[in-house]
Amino acid sequence: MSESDDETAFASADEGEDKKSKDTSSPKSKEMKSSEIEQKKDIEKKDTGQKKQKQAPKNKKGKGSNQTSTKEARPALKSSPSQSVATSPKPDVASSSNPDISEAKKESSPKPVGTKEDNDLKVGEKTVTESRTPEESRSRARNSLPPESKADPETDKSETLSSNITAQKEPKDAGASEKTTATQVQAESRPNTETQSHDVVKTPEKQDIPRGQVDRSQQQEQILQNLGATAEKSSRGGWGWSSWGSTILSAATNSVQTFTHQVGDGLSTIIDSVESSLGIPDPEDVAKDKSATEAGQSPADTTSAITSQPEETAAVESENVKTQATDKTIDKEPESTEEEEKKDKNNGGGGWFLNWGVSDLAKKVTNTGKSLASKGQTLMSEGFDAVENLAAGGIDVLETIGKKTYNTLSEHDPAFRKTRDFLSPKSNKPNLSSVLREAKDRAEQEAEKVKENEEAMKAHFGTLFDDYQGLAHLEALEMLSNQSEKKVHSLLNSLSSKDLAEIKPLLISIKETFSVQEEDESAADTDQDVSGLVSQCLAQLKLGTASDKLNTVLEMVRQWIADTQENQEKDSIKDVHQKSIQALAELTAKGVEQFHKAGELILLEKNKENDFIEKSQSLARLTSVLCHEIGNLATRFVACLNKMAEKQENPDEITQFVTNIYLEATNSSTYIQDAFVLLLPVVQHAAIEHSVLFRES
Amino acid sequence: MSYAYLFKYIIIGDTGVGKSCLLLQFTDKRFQPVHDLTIGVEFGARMITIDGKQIKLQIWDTAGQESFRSITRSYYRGAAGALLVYDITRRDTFNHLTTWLEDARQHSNSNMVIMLIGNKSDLEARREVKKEEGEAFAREHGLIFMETSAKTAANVEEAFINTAKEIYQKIQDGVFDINNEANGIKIGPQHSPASQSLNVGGSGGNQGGNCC
Repeated sequence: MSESDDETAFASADEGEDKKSKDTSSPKSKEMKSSEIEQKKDIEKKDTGQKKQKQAPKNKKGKGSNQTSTKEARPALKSSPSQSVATSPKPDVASSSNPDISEAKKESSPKPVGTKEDNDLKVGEKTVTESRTPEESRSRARNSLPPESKADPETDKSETLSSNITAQKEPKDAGASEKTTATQVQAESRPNTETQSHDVVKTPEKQDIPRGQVDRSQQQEQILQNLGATAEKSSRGGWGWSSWGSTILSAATNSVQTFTHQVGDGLSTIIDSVESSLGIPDPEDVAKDKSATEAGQSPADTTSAITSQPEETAAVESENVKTQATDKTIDKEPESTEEEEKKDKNNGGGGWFLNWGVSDLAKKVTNTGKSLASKGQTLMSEGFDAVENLAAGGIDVLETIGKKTYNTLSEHDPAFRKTRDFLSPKSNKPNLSSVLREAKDRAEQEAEKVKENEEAMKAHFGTLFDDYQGLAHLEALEMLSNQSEKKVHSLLNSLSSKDLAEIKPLLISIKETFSVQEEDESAADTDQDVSGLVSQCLAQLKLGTASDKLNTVLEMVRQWIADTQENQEKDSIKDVHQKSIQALAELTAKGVEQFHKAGELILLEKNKENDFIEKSQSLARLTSVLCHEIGNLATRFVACLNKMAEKQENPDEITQFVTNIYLEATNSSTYIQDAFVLLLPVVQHAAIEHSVLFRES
Repeated sequence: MSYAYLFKYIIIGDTGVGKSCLLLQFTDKRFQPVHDLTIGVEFGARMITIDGKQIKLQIWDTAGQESFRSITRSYYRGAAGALLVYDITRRDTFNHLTTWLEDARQHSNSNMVIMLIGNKSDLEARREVKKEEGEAFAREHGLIFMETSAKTAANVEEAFINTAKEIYQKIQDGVFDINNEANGIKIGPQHSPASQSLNVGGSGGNQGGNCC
């Protein structure tokens, strides 16, 4: 269907619509309303058509012409199926298709959702139908329905079912409609036309109401009449059988369909929710579409065509066409068995029922079995149909979404540069090899860091000092000192003023000894015999502890410095630096340990000849010697480094090492002096205890 | 060398029960049959791993001599764990346990984990104190008990590590306040060495970490 065709179709549709509304306009207010609604629909339809026109070029670009045409045709049909029937622009197919079928579809398709509103309208409709004069309704019936449409209700029902199943919207409703079918089939054979008409009227859907009201009311009149005749006929032949058979069939159909619906239920529920959120047309509409499309094969103005013929001819013709249509639908529609029944009925008039009544039960059973089998087959195809419809609807929606997305995007981002960058980040795409290389690099870096860390530890004074237990000794000494200080205070408080006056000069002189040590730093010689001095100091302390540890360290350091001076080639600057820091740390640690031990032993010594001032002086001298030695060692290390630096290309490199050595040397001295100062309370404590102890004795 | 926690241990007990030998076995994995008398306190340290965490054990090995008791008492403070050692071949060392325990409880924090160790388990022939007695004493006073041999290294590791586990569990249970250093637990300087090393790397070898 081309664009221009489409337009013409709409134009013609509008015209036809107008005509129809004029034709059908009646004094009844109901009908007036309906025509009004119809006009509204027209407007809507026009809008849709315009929209479609806009979209059409794009559609053509991306899609096959077939699909496009179908799609374009759909909205028009959707907006009002009845219209589309009246206006479908293919008169050449008129002979092969029947407006009745399409009309019937109109009525049947909406059935699943029988809202209250619908029912209300229908009731009104019914009233209208009843109140209308037979002539009027008959004349109208000519327009839309042939007189001998006895089978119409059945076709209706079958269509209803098919559309129900196609739509797969509300399985329960569908089941209900199935039941309705059964009732209808039964009713058909009964003389009660009133019931039947009610049933038929029940089916229409909202959108159909305006048009359907008019047409259907006429149709219904017709149908009622026809059915009345048929019922009479069939009832004569034994409607009991037929109703029985129908019951069986419908029961079977029910069970089979219930299964199908249950299977399709989950799917349809999901689709429903998605669709509703996207604003997709109802599955109903889709189903209606389908039927409308089928109906689209019928002539554009079938009504007029039929009207032109004499009543009887039209009836016969319509019957034939109906049969053809039924044949056509058999492979598609689920209720093939019922249709077959219908066909039989149609062809043989009331004979089928008569035959049915006469034929034995066995045959009937066979028929039923056959029909059940075929039903199973048709159920399959019907399922596919349903999926097809849904898919078609889904594709439409997707296309719409795609178009909207495209438009929105192109509005804000004409070249799609941002969007493209966002959707396909080229730069961020990780390469496996690069990732691996990165990981490897990271691992190497970490390993290097660890190595550096270890190396740093080797040259880190604090760590080394701790490793040599200097820190622990300092801590222990501190604890001892604190304890002694507390003891001194408590002892002094416990002493009498006389005793206090006696001991006070001693404590003061001890304190002086501990504070003067800074003065004679310059006096010390760089080449003093440190080992001898240390031994001398420790001997003066008379603690009985070996000065081995301290002297061993001193010896070791001296030896090492000598070695370094001899073969400077061997060691790197870093090694020398590390060694110097290590030496300083060890010496300091041993010095602190020595002070700690001295403190402990001073406290323990219970010797009457204890001279605490002398001990204090010895400790002060030892501190001085050690501090000097540390400075001395630092200078020697730096000298080594300087000599090495002379041979190096960039002498500035050692500056930092030299600075660091001097810095740590100062640190060492501080530690030792701290340790020495910590001994003051210990010595005082020992002195007081000593004086107290020996005064008593 | 970074650690998550530092636990301070003290080893106490009569002189000659093998305290210093236990420490030497634990830290250096060696046994010295003849050991100098400990003056005051000696130190040892070793890194262990508990629950995937590096824990440094700082062990204070105290002098067992009676004359040092007044001094060693001052070192109890701030210990998270104590190894109370007796010699299974000398009944008197076992008999003195009560005094040691009172001393420890008095001068340390109440949460201190105490491990009772019957040392010299290799000298089974000269055993004077039954294992059951040790167990009973431990049960009575709420201690963990183990018989060890510093000579054969039997149970030495376990004694130290089990104590650490107990302390670690107490930390997990929130019994120990790790921020209070009086409990004998320090949180490791996990970041300081790394940052210092980074400085070293950045400044091209300036390892000047001023510890003070």
